[in-house]
Amino acid sequence: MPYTAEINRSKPTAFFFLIDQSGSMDDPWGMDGTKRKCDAVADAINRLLSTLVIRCAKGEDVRDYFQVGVIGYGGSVKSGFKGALAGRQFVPISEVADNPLRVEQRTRKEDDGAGGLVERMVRFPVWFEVDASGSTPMREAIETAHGAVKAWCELYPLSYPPAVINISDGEPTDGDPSRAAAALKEVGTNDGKVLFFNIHISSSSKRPVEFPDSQMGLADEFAQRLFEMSSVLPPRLVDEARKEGFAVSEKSRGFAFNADLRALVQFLDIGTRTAELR
Amino acid sequence: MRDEKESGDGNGRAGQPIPSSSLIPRPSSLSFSVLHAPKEEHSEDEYEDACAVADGGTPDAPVVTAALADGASSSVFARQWARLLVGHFSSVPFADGETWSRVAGLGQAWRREVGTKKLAWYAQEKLAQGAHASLLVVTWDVAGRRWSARAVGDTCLFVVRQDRLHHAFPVGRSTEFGNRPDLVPTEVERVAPDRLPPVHEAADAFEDGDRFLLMTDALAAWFLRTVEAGARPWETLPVDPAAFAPWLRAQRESGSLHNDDVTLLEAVVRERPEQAAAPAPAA
Repeated sequence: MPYTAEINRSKPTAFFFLIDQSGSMDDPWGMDGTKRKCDAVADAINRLLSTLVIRCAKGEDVRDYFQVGVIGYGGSVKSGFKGALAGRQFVPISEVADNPLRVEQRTRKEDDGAGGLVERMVRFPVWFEVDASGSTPMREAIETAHGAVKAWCELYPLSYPPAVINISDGEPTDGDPSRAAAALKEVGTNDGKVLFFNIHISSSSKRPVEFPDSQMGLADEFAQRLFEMSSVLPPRLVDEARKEGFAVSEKSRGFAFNADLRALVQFLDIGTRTAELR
Repeated sequence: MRDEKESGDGNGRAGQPIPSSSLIPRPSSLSFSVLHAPKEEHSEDEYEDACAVADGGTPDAPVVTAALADGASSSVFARQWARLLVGHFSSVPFADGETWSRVAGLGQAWRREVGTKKLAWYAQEKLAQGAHASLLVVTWDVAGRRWSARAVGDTCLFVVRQDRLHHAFPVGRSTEFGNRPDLVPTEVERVAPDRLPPVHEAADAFEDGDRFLLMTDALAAWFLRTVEAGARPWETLPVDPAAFAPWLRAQRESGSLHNDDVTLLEAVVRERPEQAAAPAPAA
């Protein structure tokens, strides 16, 4: 059965993030006018990387269950990592853990165990900086991901397949990316094809949509195309999404439109909750 | 790996050798053996189950208690938490109404043990989430010839009598195992009392020849699946440590046993030779 490979240190899995850093990401975000789209995305990516590290942390070690790649596309396609990790394509999660650009202190509201919320100071590592300029070469970014994950799958043929997660405000400037996305989804390991997830960050204040199973109700042609490009969720992720309260079906796709920050982080979290870690 | 321990005369205490002679009648004795293995491709240092056996009670009412815990893989410092739980619950009798206050005290001990180190940001963040473990505690009332058990989560007890599965506790069917078992948390204070996991209880009489098999979830799931298929897993399960490791590897490779830490603690009720040979007491 596909998408069931156990994840361990000899058979890690990989996450590859494609982050739209084009000029339009500087615009206010539809779901929270006080924030720019690029700020919301940087926060979500940094929080997710932190979650992935913590998921692999065992005592004082971080076990290399995951490898992570980040590329940004704004004007051109470039490595999303800076500092000690600059230019790296896939980085073992233990190296990600040990090389944030800085660790900030932030407050986070948490469940107090009695139905309420308490504020807690948390350490917030930052790997990915805000950037927003230039055009939107999404097709080229997907082609870059294709090359990277194809090489990765050849190295780890028995692993749970990589997930490629694209976060964009949706309008490519280098042509239709559909064919590149279809080719990307043909790559895989013995355990299944690459999973391609898309998150559409919009300036519109239209109702958010997460894990839809059809194009019905999607705002525009760009959202519809990103939906079409997205993988159908494997059954385990359907279960995970359902447990988190999302209305999903077995045809649901890894696509979110205009998710607020909490839902965006939840979406990313569910998208990266692969098979059991051992 | 296998450790053996004989017990049952009631004079021993946790971690102490048991005296060779006693005035207490010995209607039966319990012999214990333990087999354990870390996950495949993991080292012994990464093994996160823990078990302990201790004698207790009084000279007139000796008891033996075994505790087995399975530290949750998703937790940080889960091994230390599992060890604290079994060390405590094997040596201090279970008392209704006190369970969670005692766990809270153990949680403080866990924080003292692991929280004093200088840790990286991720270990500090994860430390705040606490550790979790399933727990099974079985007590044998040696003179009264009864056993009782309490459990949180999916660490299991199977009682085999006369070549039949006589008792399965607290999980009765293999389909009941999942990825989110109830667990004992270190951070009890942060959980509302009505959200704490249930403590399951069971009790029964025991007889000479009974085999008590305490095991963590991966092996327990295999055990129940085998029973459900109409076979006798207690016959298949190797008791020889030299045979256990290759058997376990083969089961894992074939997919019939999930790759997880495995612990099997077996207690067998044996009739003592001197008791068997002794004349019946005068009326």
